[in-house]
Amino acid sequence: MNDSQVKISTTQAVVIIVNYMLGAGILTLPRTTSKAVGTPDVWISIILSGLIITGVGIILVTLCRRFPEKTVFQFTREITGRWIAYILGCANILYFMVIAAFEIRVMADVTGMYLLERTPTWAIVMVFMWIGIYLISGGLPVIVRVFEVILPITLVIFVMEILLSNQLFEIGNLRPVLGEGIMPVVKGLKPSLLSYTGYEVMLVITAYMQNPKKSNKAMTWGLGISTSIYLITVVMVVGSLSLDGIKTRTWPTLDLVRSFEIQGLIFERFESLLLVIWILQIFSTFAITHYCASVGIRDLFKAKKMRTIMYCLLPFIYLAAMIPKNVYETFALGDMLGNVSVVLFAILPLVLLLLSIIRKKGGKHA
Amino acid sequence: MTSLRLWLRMICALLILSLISGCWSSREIEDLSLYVGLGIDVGQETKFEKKISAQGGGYPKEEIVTATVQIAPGKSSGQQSDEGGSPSSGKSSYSNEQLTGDSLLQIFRQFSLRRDRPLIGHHLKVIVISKDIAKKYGLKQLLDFVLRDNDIRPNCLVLISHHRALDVLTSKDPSRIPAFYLTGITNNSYISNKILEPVSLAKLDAEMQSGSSFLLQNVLNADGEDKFSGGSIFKAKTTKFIGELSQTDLEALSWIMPEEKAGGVIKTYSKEGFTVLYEIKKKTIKIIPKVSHGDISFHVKAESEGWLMEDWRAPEKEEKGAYLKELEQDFAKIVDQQIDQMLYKLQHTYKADVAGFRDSLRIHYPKTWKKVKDNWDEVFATVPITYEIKTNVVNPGSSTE
Amino acid sequence: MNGKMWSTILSYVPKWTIWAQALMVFVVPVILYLTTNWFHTAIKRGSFSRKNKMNHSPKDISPAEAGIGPGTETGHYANIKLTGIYTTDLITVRETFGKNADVHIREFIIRGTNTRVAVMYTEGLTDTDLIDKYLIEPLMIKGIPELKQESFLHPEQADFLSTYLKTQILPVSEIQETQSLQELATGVLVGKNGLLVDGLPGAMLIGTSRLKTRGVDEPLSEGLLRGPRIGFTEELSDNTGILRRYGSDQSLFIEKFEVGSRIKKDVAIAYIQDIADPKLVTEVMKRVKAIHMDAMLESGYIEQLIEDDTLSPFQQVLNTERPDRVIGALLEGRVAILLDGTPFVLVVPVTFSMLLQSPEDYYERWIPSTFLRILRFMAAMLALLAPALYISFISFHPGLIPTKLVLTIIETRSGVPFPSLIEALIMELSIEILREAGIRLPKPIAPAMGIVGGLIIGQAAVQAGIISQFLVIVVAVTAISSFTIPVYSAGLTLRLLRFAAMFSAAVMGLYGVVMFFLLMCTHLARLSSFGVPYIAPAVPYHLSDWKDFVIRAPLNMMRRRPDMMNTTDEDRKK
Repeated sequence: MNDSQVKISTTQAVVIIVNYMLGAGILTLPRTTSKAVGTPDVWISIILSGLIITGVGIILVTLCRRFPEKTVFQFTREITGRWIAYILGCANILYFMVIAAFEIRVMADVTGMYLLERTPTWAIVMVFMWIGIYLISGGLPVIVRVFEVILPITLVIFVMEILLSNQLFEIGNLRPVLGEGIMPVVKGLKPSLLSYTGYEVMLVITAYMQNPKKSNKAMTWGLGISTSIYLITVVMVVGSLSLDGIKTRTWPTLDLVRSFEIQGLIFERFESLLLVIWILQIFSTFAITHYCASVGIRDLFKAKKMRTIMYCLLPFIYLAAMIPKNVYETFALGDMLGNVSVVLFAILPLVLLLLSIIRKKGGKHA
Repeated sequence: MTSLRLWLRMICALLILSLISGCWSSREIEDLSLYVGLGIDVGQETKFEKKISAQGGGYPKEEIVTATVQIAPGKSSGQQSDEGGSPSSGKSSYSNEQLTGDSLLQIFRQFSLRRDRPLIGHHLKVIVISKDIAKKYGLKQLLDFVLRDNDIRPNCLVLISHHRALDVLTSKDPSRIPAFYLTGITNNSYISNKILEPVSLAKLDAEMQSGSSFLLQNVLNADGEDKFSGGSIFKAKTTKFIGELSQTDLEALSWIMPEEKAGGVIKTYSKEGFTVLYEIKKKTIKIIPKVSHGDISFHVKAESEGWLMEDWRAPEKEEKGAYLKELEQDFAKIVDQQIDQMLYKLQHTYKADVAGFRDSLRIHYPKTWKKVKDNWDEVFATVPITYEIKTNVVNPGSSTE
Repeated sequence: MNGKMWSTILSYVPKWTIWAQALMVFVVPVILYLTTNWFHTAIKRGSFSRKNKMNHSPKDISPAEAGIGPGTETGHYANIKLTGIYTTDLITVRETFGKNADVHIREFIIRGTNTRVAVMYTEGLTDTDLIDKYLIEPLMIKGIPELKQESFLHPEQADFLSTYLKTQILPVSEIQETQSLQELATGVLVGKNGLLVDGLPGAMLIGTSRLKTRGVDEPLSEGLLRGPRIGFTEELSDNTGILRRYGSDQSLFIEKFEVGSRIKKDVAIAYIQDIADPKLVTEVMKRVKAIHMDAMLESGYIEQLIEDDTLSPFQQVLNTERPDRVIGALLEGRVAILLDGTPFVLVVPVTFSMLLQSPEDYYERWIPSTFLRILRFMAAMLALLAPALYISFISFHPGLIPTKLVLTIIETRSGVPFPSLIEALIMELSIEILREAGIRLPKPIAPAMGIVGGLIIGQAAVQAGIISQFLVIVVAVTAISSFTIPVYSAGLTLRLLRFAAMFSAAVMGLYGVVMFFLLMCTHLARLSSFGVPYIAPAVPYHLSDWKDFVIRAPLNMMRRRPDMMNTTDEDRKK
């Protein structure tokens, strides 16, 4: 399990990015964005956010490319001093851990509501975390392989399900386009940012890529695929349930799939499939964030044994997942994470990049 | 060696522990009763409840609603319930249970005091609400539990019953489960334009949230047989029942609402008094809103293509040119009359826009829409609506002159 | 202000139960990890306790290396040399293995000289034809020609003797010389004929055993509709012969070792030199040479001793009786291991997809083959997950079944007293018992038993109210699906895993099934067989590998050998 020898290809990097990004956000994205936007122009916000994030991502990846084979925890030290690097590194690690906890919490909530009503939360979460640790203790190659198995299943079933709902779809729900001008669209950019968190995994993964020069391509593809999935979701949900219908639904995407029945096909009810693939996706997000947090601790504190770190992180993530007391606090946590991610991964890499160019670190000067 | 045995014992204990204490959510399917239909009526205690509370088995509640649940499959013969609603002979495929109270969820939980199988709502297909209770309490209040419940699926249909929901949910034939055939009838909206498109909970929720008045299908019941006829109008903000439209009004409505599936017939009497029937095959409807200097007006253009399906004329006349044109005009005139009546009801009697004019205004003139959004119904009552109908007879059917 | 802040922070600190749960989250995987590690090391060591370490003295040599070099013999008569003096040697022989009732010694004299010769053979294993015509006749009847008779009288020219006999007198193809009693004993007891010649410091071993072997019939366990109807036999030489005959290529390379310390058997390793990855070949040889066991009764022993992960339910070595499967694998760059005494040949490395493929896929055209492959895939999934899904839908999520079906299920299940897990377990266990029994039934009864078992018992159980009819269908579909898997050992794995899936479904319903699926995926991803990841070719994404995975692309398009095998020669056209 010697990580430094592992090389992942460009396609595998794309797979990791897409798997990370598709997570808890899919279920809540329609509601949060439509609340902010107020008009049916939600889909324009999604496309715009996608483009903005792609730009941000490319900056991030350029930064990483200047320091080949070094994760963000290692090269920040070279750009700023030791102490600032420590603080930033710790912030990153904390962020990864909290995202893992958030994802688990959302999964436990939804599973507890729709699948297993009377099972205690700890049973659901613990089994999940144990299988997670089994996966990541195999190292990056194992993680990537499992991701490559999960992703096609998810994509195919998800797209099929969403398109099946076209019997409810009414184009009138999406009109008028830009009826109230561009302002609502801009208002909708902020909530969609949380769902786009995931590109930051490149801060850690670029170090292991076979072909770091292609990381730009990987980032663009990864973000492109995620954006299209989000776009399809939002369009179908808003188009079928209409803007007003989403207002009071806690999990609009799930309700969309529950709103139709196709008589005669084997499953009449397709939400089972949707929940299955959603759980798979949450699992992948959880696994990769846990892994990144462990990598962070290893690199920042120069520890040796990854395995011990991974095991030790488990109880902390569990505690963090249990802290929000109800659904509203969970959503608040999610919003907070979105804000933090803007600072940590949009503004900071730009600053770091400029600093490294000014102070002549990395890249040609490495 | 002892450490080995200790390890093994611990592992076995953990495994067994997980298996025994597990299965928290496991409930065998035959231990559950599914309810496929729900009826909400004005509160009226059943005989059973009266007797129970006479014995002191009541609990603090107000007699607001009576909920009827239709459980399938029902009890086999030999166990009759003397409450109204269950068919009385043979192995019934469903059974109706009733309880009264003031909270739907509490009523359901009361069932668990009486039946060994708890209720689950995963397969709820239809909710029938009596118009009397809908006059008193808005739909938003009545259906609040249903919308929040995680078991009930949002594709469940909502119907309004003219009298008691309980009657609608009863059928003479024990093998026909009313909930199923009610949902089956709603699928016929493609054949007849006297039925509305089925309204599911999801759609209903959307309409209630959007602050618009809406229309729900009416069900009448006589002698254990149900019939769909007409629609009930619900006022926007209160979501309470305010009035009804008849079948013919629904027909007229189908000429104005662009999403309605084509189907149905127009009947007219020719000059000589014979019945002539026209089957609508395709409809194109456009609502054109016009805003000039703050004045809103609508113009509806509807054109249909169809087949001449029945002509009682005797002696037969040649179906060519002039005769067909005459018939087309007759058909259009009938439709005009119907629409007139219906619009009058909507604009003057009930002051509610259920025909979807708001959508076309919202799409084409969003700025004006923003201004009038909040009291649209009043504005609607004053808006002039013009319409032109054109019917084309394309095909005289298999027999022709 | 401070107090309020403090109390809000405190309200977020979790209760002690959550702390306890957090501890459990940490402790359980650690325990599991330590336990599996402990198991692994114990298995490698050979025993659970640390005290009885197997004494690997320098005298303990791997059987594969036994007999090579001086002082390396193992066995009863180890390291006894034959003296070359006829009488002494003969007495030694008679006293040692000659005491066996089925070992016979025939003495005679070479014609033309006074050299005494003794032939030793084991009855039942000898080729009497060989002895009579090619051993005794040239020596006894034809003898030594006049010119050379002189040299025979001088026993100092021992080498001359053996060379002369070997090169000029004995018209046999298999001939070996040995100086050690051990080798002579093993040779004669295995079926060779021992030849003791007066003046020869040592003995000769001639010929091989001719035990009745069966013909190369189609294997029973791997029948196909289309394909060559030959199968391997128990003779190693026959098997290598079949490989060479049907896969003739000068790069087909065969190496031989011996395994087993007490009962030595020959093992042949076959690979195609310019296709297989040399690192793979070295690894295979290294592992085979490291085997320490008294006897290798079947290739299964080898399989279990060289595999990567003993604790995994999945087999990492493929076994097959069909030569065409082996040759196909060799052409892809894999290595075959043949063991004397068993028709089952091992092929390494193995990936998951190979367990679902049958050679027939390549003999039919691509559209029907693709269809059949997809069918098999789905059947494997069904065989694994059907009962688990049944349990999870019936007991946990009745809302996910179509309404009409639910009503029928409720009616049929009303009389059943058991929860769905117990019901499913009863039926599945009965089917497994029937299956095991069916293997050992005498041929005439077997088909009848199948029908009896299936129909009557199932029907009777339904009518007795023990199980519901729906379950009978589920179990029947599962059983039939599990028969579509071409490799029997993989079928065993799936049967085992099915029970695990049922249990996880019984605890957590559909969520449990999903978790089980993830667990399986992770395990498969971590497993590798001789360096090749087990779930290749599904991942990593190599588009060219996919041509042979779930679909089977037209033959013309399958140009390259699988990427995962790291072959040295990639072009299949060559």
